[in-house]
Amino acid sequence: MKNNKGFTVVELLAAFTLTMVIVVFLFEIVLELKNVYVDSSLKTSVISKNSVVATTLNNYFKRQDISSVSCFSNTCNVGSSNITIGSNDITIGDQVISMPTEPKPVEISKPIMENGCVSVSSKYNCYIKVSYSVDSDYLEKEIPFNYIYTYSG
Amino acid sequence: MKKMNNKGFLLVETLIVATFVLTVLVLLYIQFKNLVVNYNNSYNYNTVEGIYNLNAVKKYLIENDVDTEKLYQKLANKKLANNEKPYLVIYDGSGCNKSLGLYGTGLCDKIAEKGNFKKILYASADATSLKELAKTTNSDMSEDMRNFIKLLKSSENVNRLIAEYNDGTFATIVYDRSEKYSLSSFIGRAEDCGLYDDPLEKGRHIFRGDDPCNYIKLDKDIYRIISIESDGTFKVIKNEPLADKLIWDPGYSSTINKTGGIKANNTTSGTRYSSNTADYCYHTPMENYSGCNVWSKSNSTLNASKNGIQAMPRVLGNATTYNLPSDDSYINYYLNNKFLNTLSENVKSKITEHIFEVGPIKRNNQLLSEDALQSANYKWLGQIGLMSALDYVKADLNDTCRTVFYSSGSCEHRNWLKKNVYEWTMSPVFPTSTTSGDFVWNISSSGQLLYSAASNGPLSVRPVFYLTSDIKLSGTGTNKDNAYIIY
Repeated sequence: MKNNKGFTVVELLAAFTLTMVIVVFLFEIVLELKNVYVDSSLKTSVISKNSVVATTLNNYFKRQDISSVSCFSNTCNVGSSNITIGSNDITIGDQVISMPTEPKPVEISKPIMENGCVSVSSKYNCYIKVSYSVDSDYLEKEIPFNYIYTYSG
Repeated sequence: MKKMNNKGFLLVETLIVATFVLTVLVLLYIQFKNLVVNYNNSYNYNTVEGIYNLNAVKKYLIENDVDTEKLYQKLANKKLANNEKPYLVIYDGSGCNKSLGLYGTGLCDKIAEKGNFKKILYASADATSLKELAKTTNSDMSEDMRNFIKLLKSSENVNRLIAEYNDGTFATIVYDRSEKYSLSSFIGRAEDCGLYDDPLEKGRHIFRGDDPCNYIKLDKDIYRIISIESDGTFKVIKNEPLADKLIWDPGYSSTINKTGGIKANNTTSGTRYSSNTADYCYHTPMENYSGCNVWSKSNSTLNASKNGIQAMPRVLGNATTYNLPSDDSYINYYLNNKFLNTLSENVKSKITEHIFEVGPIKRNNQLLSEDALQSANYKWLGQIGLMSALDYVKADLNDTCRTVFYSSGSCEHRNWLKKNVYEWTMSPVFPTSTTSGDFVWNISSSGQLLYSAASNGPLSVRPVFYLTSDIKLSGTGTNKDNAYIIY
C-alpha cells in the first residue's frame, strides 16, 4: 500500500523558498529598525544637548558684561570669559557641554562664532551668533544649530 | 467516478480573507506614515534655539518702535475684511518688509540673516482664519509652513510670529504689543501708583510715597520694587527684614568674625582690621576698632568707570589712597552666601548681577545731588546688596525729607521704605579723619537717616537685588494679596 504521509520534494522546496523570502524580508526590517533606533536615539540626544546649549548661552549672555565681545572662528571672548566650540563639546564660561557618545559618538563641525553691530540708534543693535553642525556616520543627515543673541552695543 | 477533492478554500472565502488582510495592512500603513510624519515634526518644530532666535526678532520689533504701531493697528483685535490676509510678511528671504518700515536700518536684515531665517510672518489673533488659509496653496507660505500652521491650536487666539528657517525647522512665539516693557503697565498708572521719574538719573523710575503699588511676589515671599532702572531691570527689596539681625562688619568687641564664625571677644583676629597705616581698614587705637565700612574687597570695588581698584581715599578730595582689604564686608559675605543659598533656583534664575553704588557719602547736610555724586564714585558688581541711603531718601513723598541727606531736624516721613526698625543701608559714611573708616548709614525706627559704626547692632537687614529686564508681570501690585507675579 502506498504511504501518503509527508511532503513531496516540490512542496518542500516551495515552502523552503517562501520561508527564506520571508526571513530575508524580516531581517531587512530588523536591520532597518535598528538603524532607525540609532538615528532617532542620537537625534534625540543631540537635540536635547542643543537645547541645553541654547538655554545656557542665553543665561550666560544675560549675566556677562558683554560690553567687550570679540568672536572669531570657534571662539568668542566675552568680557573676562569665553565660549569655545570644540570637536565634541562646547565650553560656555566655566561650563562644558559635551555631545553624546551613546549609542554612537558624534562630532561637531562647521563652527561659526561671530559678532557685530549695526550703527543705528537702537536698543538691540548688536548680535552674537553661535552656529555649528553635529554629524555622525549613524545620522541620516547632520543636525544644524544656529543661535543668535541681540544686545545693546 | 473520480472522488471530488474537498480540500482547499472556496473562492469567496479567499476573497473575503484577502480583503480583510488588505484593509488591515492599509490601515497599518496609514498609521505608520502618520507616525513617521509626527516623528519628523517633533524634531523640526519649535526647537529651543529656533524659539530664542525668533525671540530676538520679537525684541527687535518691540524695542525699535519700527512701525510696530502699524503692525498692531493692522491686525490686533480687528475683524478682517474679505480676502484680507490674517498675517503680514516680516521677512521673505530677500529682505525685511519695506512697506512696514523694516528695511533701511539694516538691523532687521542682519538679525534675519544671522538667525538663518527663511521666512517670518506676523499673524493675527484669528488662528482659525490662518489655518483655513493654510489649507490652500499660498505664495507666502511653503507647503511645509502650511503644514506647521495647521498644527496651531485654534483656541489660542493670540498674535504670533511664525518663522521658517533655512534648515527646515519652524518656530512660533506669541507676540503681544502690550509686552513692550513691563514698564508700560506702570507708566500709564503712575499718578495713582507712586511711580516717578528719578530726579537724578534719566531713564530711571522710582516708587515713592506711603504705600505705592510695587508689591511683587517671588515664590512665597513678598518683595517691593524700589526702582525700574534705565536698563530695564527691577531693583527689589525684601518686604520683611531677615529673621537674623546682623552687624555690618565685625570689630574688636564683636563675637562673630568676618565670615560669620565664632570670634573671640576683644581681639581683631577674624576681622578686617589692619595695623598698617597704609591700609583702609587701619584704625587706632586697635581696641576701638569698630569694623571697616568698605562694602567689598580689593579689585571687587570698582571706580566710577567700573574698573576694579585696589585702594581708595578715606578723606574726600584727598589724593592719598589706602589699600582696600582682601575680604568683603561680613554683611556682603552673608548676603551673597548664606542668604543667596536660601533662595530657590526659580528666584535665582531671575536675579541678574548688577552694579550697586557703594561710594561713601559725607555727613554734612549737603544737597541730594552731591550725595548722589559721592555715592556713584565707587561701585560693586554683584547679586545681593542692600538699599542705598539714596534709595531711601528718594522714596520719600515729603519734599523736605528729600532736600538734604542728613539733618538733625525732624521730618515727617511719607516713605514706604520706612519699616519702623533700625536697619542697615549699603552706603558708607565718608571718614572725616584718616582713622575713622567705620561709619555706615542706617535708618532709625523713626525713619531718620543716621550713621553708626559697622560693628554696632545687630540691626535689621532687608536684602536687595535686581530682577532681569525680560520678566513679565501680572497683577496690580497694590498690596500683598495682589502682588505682581512673574509669569
